[in-house]
Amino acid sequence: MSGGPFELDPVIHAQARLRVVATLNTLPDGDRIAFPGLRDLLGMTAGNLSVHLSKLEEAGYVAIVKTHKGRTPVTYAALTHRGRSAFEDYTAAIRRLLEAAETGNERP
Amino acid sequence: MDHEQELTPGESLRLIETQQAAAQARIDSNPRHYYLPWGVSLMVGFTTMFLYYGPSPGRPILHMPPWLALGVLFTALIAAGVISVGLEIRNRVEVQGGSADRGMMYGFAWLVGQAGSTAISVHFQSYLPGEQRGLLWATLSLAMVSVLYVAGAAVWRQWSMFALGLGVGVVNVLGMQAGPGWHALLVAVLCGGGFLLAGALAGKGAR
Repeated sequence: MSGGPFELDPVIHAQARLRVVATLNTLPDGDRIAFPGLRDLLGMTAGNLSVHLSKLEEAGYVAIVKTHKGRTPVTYAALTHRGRSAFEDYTAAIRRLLEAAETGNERP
Repeated sequence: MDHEQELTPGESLRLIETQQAAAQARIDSNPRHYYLPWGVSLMVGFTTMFLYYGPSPGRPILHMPPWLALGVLFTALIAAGVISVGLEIRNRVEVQGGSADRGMMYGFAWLVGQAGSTAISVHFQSYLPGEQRGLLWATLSLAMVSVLYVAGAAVWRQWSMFALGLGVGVVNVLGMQAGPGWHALLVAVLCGGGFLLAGALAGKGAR
């Protein structure tokens, strides 16, 4: 699946990262979610989620903010504008693929 | 991870929809956590007040000391507040940013509103005859609830909250005209029932 209008972003098109991005996209612009809450929503281990967040951060799709709440360190995650736009492009692409499949024009 | 089985477009779309619905349900406030405890509390508290007042002044349905009737009312209201906030805290995930700021400011609006209405009632109650004092407390407090529900609905664009706010406002004013006993009965049945119905409908929508 590469090239042209049917190209799917390989960073997002992996089940676990797709779930992470889909979840973060439900937050309104300007909001960020605490790491334990995100882990709970996704049912992932902390290590697994960290790996996926790092990959998304490397791609510029996710912003990670590390801060302190009193003496406890807290990590927050949010989609960047680039991440949000990549997710919108991704959903638009899969919808086009589905439409193409329905009309019998799907490319091999 | 990356060696996961590749998703078909249909599977991707279903995964997005399922995940987003599950996340939204936990990130947003759940109206059932408020409507159901408040519905029970209004019904129990104001039914007790109706039994205490009776349909007309000086004709109580159940003889009880005023501290008992007010004690039941305030215990029911406090219990509803504790239960609804407890359920929300237990179920919600921590989010920082604009939504959290909005929630915090709205919480303060309740504090300011109820503290203000309490101060006004305390100041003016000595000028009123017995039963009208209780009516002043109840109507002022419910007027605040009505306004804050409509305002909350405007912030979160929630139509059930808007309808409940308007409903409480109308019932409160009509009940006030009818007198303390009828006010208590109308609030117990219509407002309490309205909150329970809204809670049941919100649950139906969530399934």
